[in-house]
Amino acid sequence: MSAPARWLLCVCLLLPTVAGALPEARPLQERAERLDLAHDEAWLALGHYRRNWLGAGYASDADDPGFFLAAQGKADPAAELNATLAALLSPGSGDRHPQCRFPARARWLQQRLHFDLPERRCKALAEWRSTLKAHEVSLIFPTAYLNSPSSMFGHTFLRLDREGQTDSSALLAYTLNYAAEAVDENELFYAYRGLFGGYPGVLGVRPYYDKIKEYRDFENRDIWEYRLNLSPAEVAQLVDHSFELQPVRFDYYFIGENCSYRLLALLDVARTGLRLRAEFPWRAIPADTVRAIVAAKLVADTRYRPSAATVLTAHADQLGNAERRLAKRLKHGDTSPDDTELTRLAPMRQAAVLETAYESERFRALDDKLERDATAKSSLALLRARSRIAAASPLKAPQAPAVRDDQGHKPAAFGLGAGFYDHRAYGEIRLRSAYHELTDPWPGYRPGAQIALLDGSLRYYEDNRLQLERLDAVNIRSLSPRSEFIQPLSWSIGLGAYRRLMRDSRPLLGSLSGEVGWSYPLAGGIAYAMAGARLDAGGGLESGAQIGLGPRAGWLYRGLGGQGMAAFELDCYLIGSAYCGGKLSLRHAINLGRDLALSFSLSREQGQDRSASEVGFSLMRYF
Amino acid sequence: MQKLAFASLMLAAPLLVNAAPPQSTSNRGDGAGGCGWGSLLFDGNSGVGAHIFAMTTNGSFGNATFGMSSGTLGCDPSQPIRYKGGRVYISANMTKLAEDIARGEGETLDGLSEVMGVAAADRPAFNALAKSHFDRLYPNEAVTSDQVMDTLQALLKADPALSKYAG
Repeated sequence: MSAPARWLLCVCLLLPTVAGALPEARPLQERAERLDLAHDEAWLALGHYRRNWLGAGYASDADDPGFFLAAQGKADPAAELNATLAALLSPGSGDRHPQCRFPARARWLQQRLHFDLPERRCKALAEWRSTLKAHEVSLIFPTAYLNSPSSMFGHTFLRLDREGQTDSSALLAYTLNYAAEAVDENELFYAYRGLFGGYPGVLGVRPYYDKIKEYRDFENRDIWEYRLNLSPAEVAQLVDHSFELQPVRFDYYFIGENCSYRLLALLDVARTGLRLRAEFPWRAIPADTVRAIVAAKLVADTRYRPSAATVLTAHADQLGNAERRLAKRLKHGDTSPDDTELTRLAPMRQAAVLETAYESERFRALDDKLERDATAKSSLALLRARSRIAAASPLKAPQAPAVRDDQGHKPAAFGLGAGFYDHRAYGEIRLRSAYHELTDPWPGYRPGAQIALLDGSLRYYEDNRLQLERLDAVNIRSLSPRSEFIQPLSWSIGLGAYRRLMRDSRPLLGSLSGEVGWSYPLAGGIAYAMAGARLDAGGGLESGAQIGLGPRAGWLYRGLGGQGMAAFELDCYLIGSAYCGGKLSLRHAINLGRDLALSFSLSREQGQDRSASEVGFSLMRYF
Repeated sequence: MQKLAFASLMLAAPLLVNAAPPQSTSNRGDGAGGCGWGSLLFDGNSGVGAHIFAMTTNGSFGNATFGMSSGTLGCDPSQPIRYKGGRVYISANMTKLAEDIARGEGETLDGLSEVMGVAAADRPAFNALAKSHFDRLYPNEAVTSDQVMDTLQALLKADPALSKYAG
């Protein structure tokens, strides 16, 4: 039997007894009405109510009739409160009794209305509490992972910490994770349903070691842990409310009602007055929700847990050149662990080389999705050799970044600029919905990672022309530098509209583009070389649409008070009037604070039998 | 469809701990103790995408989660909880645990001590015992988590100082 039906049945069975208990509940209900408890922040949080977009009504985010005791409970917090009071006072026992089913509501109502409920044995609730054994709560934030579009913005979940927990026993703590219960294997359906709420979102419980394996080892995402300063009473309320939510279905939306949003709701229940949900009416980017939690003074301290790739990079950096080459050969199986080249090293250095070789092998196995058989034997040989060396590892763990992922600039941007394009002066307004562009202030962001969503510029030229200069619906770039041990591809994808210099005009063209290539570390920055292709379409083209192909190269650097990028791109068009056009550009931004930057740009564009230069500056404000 | 049915089942009963879903023991290879899942060393590397998908979506409230504490994995009921917890833990952490044992230290190895109730004072000896017998614990790459646990139990029993931690 499905959940809604089951709970509906449960509610129906209750109704006669509820009616019988009304005389007792009546005075409490009247008192609740006088105090207007139904519209108290805590009650609205417990019921996951939000104000409707239109009018003054309410609606709950819960999409499961089993969560409501009143028939119209989803839309009426007062009716739900009255029904809850009546149900709590109804006779009966066992896990189905509302007192056992809704312990967080019961606790809050008792505190506010000062009434007693009989002791009831709630087996399921008792097991929930004793299993989770929560004493403190930590917010866990696996950071963005560029190669997976559905995790671009990071993810958050809660860890329930036990009393006297140490760093090592933290692995055994349980986590509360709100996620879409996806049943489609098809990526396309996955994205569509994710955006439009086609998946039920449910609260999952797993040991922390499972989550670490998933994020740190399989997906290579660095993890930030934020220990929250919730009191034991607040933790108890959170645990009980998560028990109320555990069987409840919420429609899951990637952008709005997502993992992070539901966690905010849990925290709103734990501590009345936070009003975290209210800060994210339509979109909850995990990093933003972490910012809000930090701003609400909920964080006691933080800890950094580097991903497998970060550890590997840090360890490889601690090897000498010869040791690194040896580790690489050991990984490929070109050298055996018995080889004198290894065994003549000091034991400690042998340990360092073997460990790095092993980590590199595991990274390759997971990243390249190799068959188990291809690496299991050689991985075990490396571990066996390592186990024969008594020395402890000299390798140091990577240092936590000085700026956390929640401490970077805010994701939306507003810019005011001015400049000259082809000797004509212009003023410019720019607006971006999210998230980070390569030349934005880098602290707190992954180097070489860009996600721009809904990013547009409007220009006003001195000859009284107002023009849309550019509009990116989405523009993602991933410049992942290659090293001896980690060899990812760099890529980009963009969809939007831009202006292209033609023979006697500069028409606005819709454009879909992609690039793929390699990046390398260069002078503290990242240099890249890629092959690119673009499909342009619009009335400004004689043929209606054109395909361009060509190389891209550039260098992203840090310094001179900020960061900048020098870039070159060339496109040769194949359909209609065939020609090659390109652009050489330099953009540098000086960071004037976390959320303010001044940028300068210089470019030379070669169009069809014609070229144009541009120079400009702009002030960017992040909000 | 099976996943959907499983999800509904999960939704329908808030705490299915006491009514273990049928797949928990029948579909997975039972080990020597009739308990745990018998994961392979370096398991999870073929078809990682599919593996993760199954792990995050299907198992959001999997039986292993609570089985660890309440002992519903079909284990021999005469075994203490610590022992069963150790089996589930080793099964879930095969790869990382092997790495820590080879090094003789690490978070995942500490976690095993925690599950098996090894006192802080005995952990250096516990770690050293495991490290010095790496070859016995992991004789080949086809070793399963249940075999690792059986060997570990034998090693503990034979060690006068640590035999009290044997299940």
